Amino acid sequence: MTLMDRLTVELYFSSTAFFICLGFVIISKRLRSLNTPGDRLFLELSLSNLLYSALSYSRIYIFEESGLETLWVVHQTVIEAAGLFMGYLWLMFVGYTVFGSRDYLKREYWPFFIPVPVLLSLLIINIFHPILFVYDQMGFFIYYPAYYVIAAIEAVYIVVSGILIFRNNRNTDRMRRFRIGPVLTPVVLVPLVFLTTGARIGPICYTVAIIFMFFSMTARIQYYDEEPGFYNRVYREYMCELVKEGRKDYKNLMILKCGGDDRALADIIRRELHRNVEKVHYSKGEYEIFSEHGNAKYLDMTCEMLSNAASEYDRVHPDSPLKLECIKIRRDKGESAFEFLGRTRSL
Amino acid sequence: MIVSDITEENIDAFSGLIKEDMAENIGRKTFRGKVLTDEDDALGAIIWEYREVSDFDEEAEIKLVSFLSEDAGEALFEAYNDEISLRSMYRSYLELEKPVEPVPEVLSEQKFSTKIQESRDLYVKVSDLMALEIARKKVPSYVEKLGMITEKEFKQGINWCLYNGRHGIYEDLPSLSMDWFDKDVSCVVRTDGELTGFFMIHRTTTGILVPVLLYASGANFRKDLLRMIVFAIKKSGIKYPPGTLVMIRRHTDETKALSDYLFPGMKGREVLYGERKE
Repeated sequence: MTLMDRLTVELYFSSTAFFICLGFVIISKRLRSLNTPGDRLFLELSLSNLLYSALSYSRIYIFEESGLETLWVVHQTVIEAAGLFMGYLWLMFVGYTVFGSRDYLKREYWPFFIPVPVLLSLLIINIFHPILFVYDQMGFFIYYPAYYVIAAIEAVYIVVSGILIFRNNRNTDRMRRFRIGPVLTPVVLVPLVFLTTGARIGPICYTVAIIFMFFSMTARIQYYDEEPGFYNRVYREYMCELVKEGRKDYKNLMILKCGGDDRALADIIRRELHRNVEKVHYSKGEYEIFSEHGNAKYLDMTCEMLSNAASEYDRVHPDSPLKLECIKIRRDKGESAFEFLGRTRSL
Repeated sequence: MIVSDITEENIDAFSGLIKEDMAENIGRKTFRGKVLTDEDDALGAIIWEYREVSDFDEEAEIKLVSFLSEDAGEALFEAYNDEISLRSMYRSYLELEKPVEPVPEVLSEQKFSTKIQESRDLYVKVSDLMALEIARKKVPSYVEKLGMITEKEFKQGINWCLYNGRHGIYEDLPSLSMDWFDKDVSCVVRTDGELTGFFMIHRTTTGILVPVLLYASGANFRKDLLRMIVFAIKKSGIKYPPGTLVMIRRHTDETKALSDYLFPGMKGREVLYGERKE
């Protein structure tokens, strides 16, 4: 290996680690408060890629002149397993992004993940009885036809699974904030390039994709307030745009104002209401709950639930009461949703 | 003759007029009732339920109307008209099974247009449900009986249904407690730690099972709906005798489609339907 090769590898590896760590540090604080399974999946994906990259290039430093064939095969097996894991973690990430539910993926798309244990078993068998690849004395791996056949089947399986998951994206508006290119590129490109040229572009391909994803996720995070983990005023403005374009239609709104601890009120809202209720942290001590379909009874019930929880809080903390005020606003007859949203802010 | 409100306190005095299944609704927010008495004798009663038609209009469904003379009927409808005139009412309507004289005549006098038609309610037996092909399907573990969740989760779940504009067949869903539903037959679906599916079934005083709310949200809502139905069928088959009646209300296009799918060709009972625009 020439000096330039080593430098290239080192530069690649360092930049990978740098970007992943950078992404991790920047977004993890926000992810701690958002803490959705998708965000956690993204972190797992980032860390797996780091591990995959490290493993993939570590042989250059560790085993270059060791001459231990079995160790080479074990090492190569771990790399193959890590690559496999990456591919399927990627599939899960796509699935989560489309469906917004990890449980749903497990319940309905579990057959897509069957190849993982099967392929892992084959890789382990290969260590003792070479059926996929073997290390030769010249310092190269010799891949058997079975390896290419299985790799091709796996690639097709992942791509078909991805397409089957992705065709459901019409049912969700999540993808509007999500770029499809970076997601599908590594899944398609990695096996394709390997099968046609034999080159392993997995680590770099996944890293570039993760960097793109990172920026895509950062764009999504701008709509959230870090601390309570609810939507913020940027989202409210975006929401007004959607309403103006006729893509959203709100019937009522509840404004919650508190004269006490802002965080305590956020905790109450989070605890009392369903996770998917549209909640906006408008300003310190002021929250908004939007509803597209709820009626007056929904507003009454929500107000009662939150007021009861606030009373309970006040009872436990008599020195710092919340002083919660629930303002229920319904859209008037003949009033457009856009006019309604405008009116709610002039109150 | 005096027209007075039917309340939880006085309803026992009118047990001859008001059946148990109807009596259990008195005291609920959306139900109202009037009774006509002459000294100690009850001459007639009317019970109705308010429903929202839109954000600004309501309708009233007359659930029970019973009187023996035209005078009694007119007095009761006068009290009814007075009460609904205070609200933004769109229409009044009713479905009566085997109405006795002079109810149809009084309805006509009260400007109700009437006709004989098939009831929107379908009555089936638990044995009919158990015989369905879907009853043989397996129920995944994430479908839990209502009794497994906490009161707080229940409230949060009902709130989530209302948030999505779903209240089932009763609009006062938020005021109904978890105990009002059959906790063994009713079920929920849990996804990613949150309740995303609800099938709430009420057992009336006389033992009829009434599905009140069937709703699921999320990517898998169609399958979740079916799985909750299978769960409820299996549990009702275990808990209740095969002859137990189940009342399926076909009040929306979705419920009509579902009942047509489950019981193709099955018809509801013949009823007198009356409607009046307010």
